[in-house]
Amino acid sequence: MRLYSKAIINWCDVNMYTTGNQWSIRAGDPNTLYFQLIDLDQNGLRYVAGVGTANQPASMLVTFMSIDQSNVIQIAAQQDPNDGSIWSVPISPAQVLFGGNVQFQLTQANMVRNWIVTAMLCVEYPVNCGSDGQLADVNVFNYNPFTNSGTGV
Amino acid sequence: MNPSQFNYTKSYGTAMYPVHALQTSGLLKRVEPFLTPEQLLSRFLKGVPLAFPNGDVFTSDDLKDRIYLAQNTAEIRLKVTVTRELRQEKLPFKQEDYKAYIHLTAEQGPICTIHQLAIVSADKNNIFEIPPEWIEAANFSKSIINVIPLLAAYGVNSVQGAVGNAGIAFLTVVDGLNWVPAYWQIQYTSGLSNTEGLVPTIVNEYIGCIAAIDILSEIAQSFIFNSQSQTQDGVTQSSSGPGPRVYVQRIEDLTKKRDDLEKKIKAIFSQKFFLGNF
Repeated sequence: MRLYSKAIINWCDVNMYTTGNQWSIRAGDPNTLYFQLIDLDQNGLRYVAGVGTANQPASMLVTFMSIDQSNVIQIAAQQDPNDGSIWSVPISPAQVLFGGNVQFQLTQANMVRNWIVTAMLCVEYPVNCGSDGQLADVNVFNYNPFTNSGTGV
Repeated sequence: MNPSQFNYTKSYGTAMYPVHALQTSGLLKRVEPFLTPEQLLSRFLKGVPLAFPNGDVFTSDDLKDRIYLAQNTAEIRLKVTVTRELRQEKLPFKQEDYKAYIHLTAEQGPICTIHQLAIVSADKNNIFEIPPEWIEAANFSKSIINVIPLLAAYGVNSVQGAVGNAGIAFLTVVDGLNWVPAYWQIQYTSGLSNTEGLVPTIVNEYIGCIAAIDILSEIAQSFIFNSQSQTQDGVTQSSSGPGPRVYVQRIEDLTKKRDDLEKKIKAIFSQKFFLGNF
C-alpha cells in the first residue's frame, strides 16, 4: 500500500468538491486546504484511515518544508467526519508556507506511513513580486557543522 | 532531508533576482511561483492536442511530472540551484588566490548565504575559521567568495577567529605551497531565490521551454501519416500534411528560445572568462 494525497481545490462538502493536482494559495490569506487520501497501488482507490481497532487512533501530520528549520510548518490535519478519506489543514494568515513539495505522515495505532507529493503547493505573493526579497545578514557564525544534528541529505 | 538550523547567516542583503536589487516598486513582476501545469499549457502548448491515437492523453498530473523533470534538467544545464539548499564543500588553496587575500569560487551557485569559511583538516578538525566580518558577500550572485580583512583600517581593532588543534601547521602552508587540493571548507546556501518556492520569471520560461520541447516531440510522433487518400464509388479525397514533422518549426523556435535564455541566465549568475593572445 502506497498512500498519496490528492489535492481538493474546490471544497463545499463531501458530495461536492473538485480534485486538482496542486493547491494554489496566496501568502497571508486564511485558508483551509483539503485533500483526499488514495492508495496508488489500488488505482487511486480512496483510503479511509482509522478503520478498525487495529488502526486506531489515526492522526495525520502535514509538513510544509523549508531549508530553514525555523520556517518548517507542521500542522495536524483533521479527518472529515462524513468521509474518512478526506482531511483538512487549517492555515492561519500568520503561517508562511513556501510552495513546492508537501510531506504527509499518517499514524494509525503504532504504524507510521510517510509520503511526499511533488509540487503540491503553489504560493503566490500578492504584496510585491518585483523581487524575491532579502535574507537577514546578522554577520555572525554560531554554527558548528559537526554538532548540528539537523543537517543531512 | 532534515532542514538546518539557520540561526546564523551572512548575506549581501539584496535580492537574488533582480541581482543586487535593494528595493523594488512592485510595478513589474519578476519572480513567480514554480511553473504550474496550467501555465505550461497557456504559455507554451496552446492549440496542441495533448492526445495520442491510442487514447493516451497528457493529464494535468503528467504535465506536473514533466515540469518536475524539466526543473531538474534546468538545474543541470544552468549549473544553478533552483531552490535554496545548504551545501558544504572544500576548495583548494591556491597561492594566486591567496595573494588577493582570499578569492574562492563555490562549485554551486548563486550563493544566498554563507555559514562557514574555515580551514578544516581531513579528520574534520576545525583548524581556523575566517571571521564573518571579513567575508565580502558582494559577489555571491556569481558564486564568488572574497575575504577582505581590512576592517582594522576603519577602527576595528581585532576580530575573533578560532585556531584549534594543530592549526598553526596548517596555516604555515601558505608560505611554501602553491596549491593544496582541499583546504578551505565552505558551507553556504545556493539558490535562485531568497524566498523558497519562487523563481525568476525567466527561469520559469526556460523550464517551460524544456518541458514543451519534450512534450511536442512525443506528440509529433503520433502524426504518422504524411498523406492519406480515400476512394469510394469513384469519388476520391486525399489530404497531405507534414506527418511527424508537424511541430518541427515550433520545436526549433522553442529550442532557440531555450538556448538564448540559457546564455542570458548563465551570464547573470556565473562568471565569464575571456581567453586570448595579446
